[in-house]
Amino acid sequence: MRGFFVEGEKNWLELGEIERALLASLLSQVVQLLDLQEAASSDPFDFLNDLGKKAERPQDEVVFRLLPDAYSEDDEANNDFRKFTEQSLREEKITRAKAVLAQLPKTDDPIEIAPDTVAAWLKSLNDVRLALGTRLEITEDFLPINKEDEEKLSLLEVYDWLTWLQGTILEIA
Amino acid sequence: MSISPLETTAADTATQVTTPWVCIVWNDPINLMGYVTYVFMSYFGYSKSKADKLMMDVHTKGKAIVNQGSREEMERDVSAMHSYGLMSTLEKSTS
Repeated sequence: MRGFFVEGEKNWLELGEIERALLASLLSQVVQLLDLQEAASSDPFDFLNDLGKKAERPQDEVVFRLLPDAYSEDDEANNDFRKFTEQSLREEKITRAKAVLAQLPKTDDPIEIAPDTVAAWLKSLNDVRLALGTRLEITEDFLPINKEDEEKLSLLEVYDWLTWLQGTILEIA
Repeated sequence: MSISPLETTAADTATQVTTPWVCIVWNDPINLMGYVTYVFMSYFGYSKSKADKLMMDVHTKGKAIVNQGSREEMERDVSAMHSYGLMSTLEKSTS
C-alpha cells in the first residue's frame, strides 16, 4: 500500500488490512503503556498511594523513552519537573494516539488526511516507533538480534515498516 | 574601600539573572534524521538549512544546543521536544 501521499493537492493515507490492524494494535499498546489508570490495580483508592510516586523515573524502559528526563545531572530538578509535567505529557500522548486510532482507515480505500492533523499523525507514529525500537534495543548501527529469535525478527519487520511509513508522512509534512 | 564588596555583589547578581539556560537535544538511535529536522523547523521555526545543520550536529557530535533563554522558556522547549519524542534536557549555559 502507498502509505501517505499527495494527490490532487490533498493528503491521503492508504493502508492494507494487515497494516491497519497492526497500527491499531501498536497505537493501543502505546496508550496502555502510558495510561496510569489502566496500569493501576482495580482498587479505586489505589491512586491515593500513587500520588506521591508519580514523580519517579518510569521503570519500564519504553515508558521512560516516551517520558524522558529533563535534567541530566540534577535529580531534584528532574523530580520536580516530572511532578509538574509528566502527567500532562502522558495525557497529551494518549489523547493524540486515540485521535489517530479513531481516524485510521477502515477499508483499503485511501482516506483524506486534513493538513492540521498531519503533525499529530507524525508524532504518534513516532511514539509507536520509539516504543518498538526501544523494546527491540535498536542501536545506532547494529541490531543485536539472534536470527533464530523469530518473534524479534518479525517485530523488526514491523519496525522497518514503521520507518517506511514515517518516511512517507515526512514527505507530505 | 567599603564599596568594593557591594560592587562584587551587584555584579554577581547581574550575572545570575542574565545567565541563560540552554535546551539540548541528544542523539538517539531511533529518531529519523528527517524527523529531527522537521521538529526543529516546525517547533522553533528554523530555516531548513539551520534545522539540517543542528540535526547533523546532534547526529555527529551526540548533541546540540537548539535554543537558549530563561529557565522557564527552556523547560517549555524541553517539554515540547519530549512531546515530539526527541531526547532533550536543559542546563545552565556554560558559555
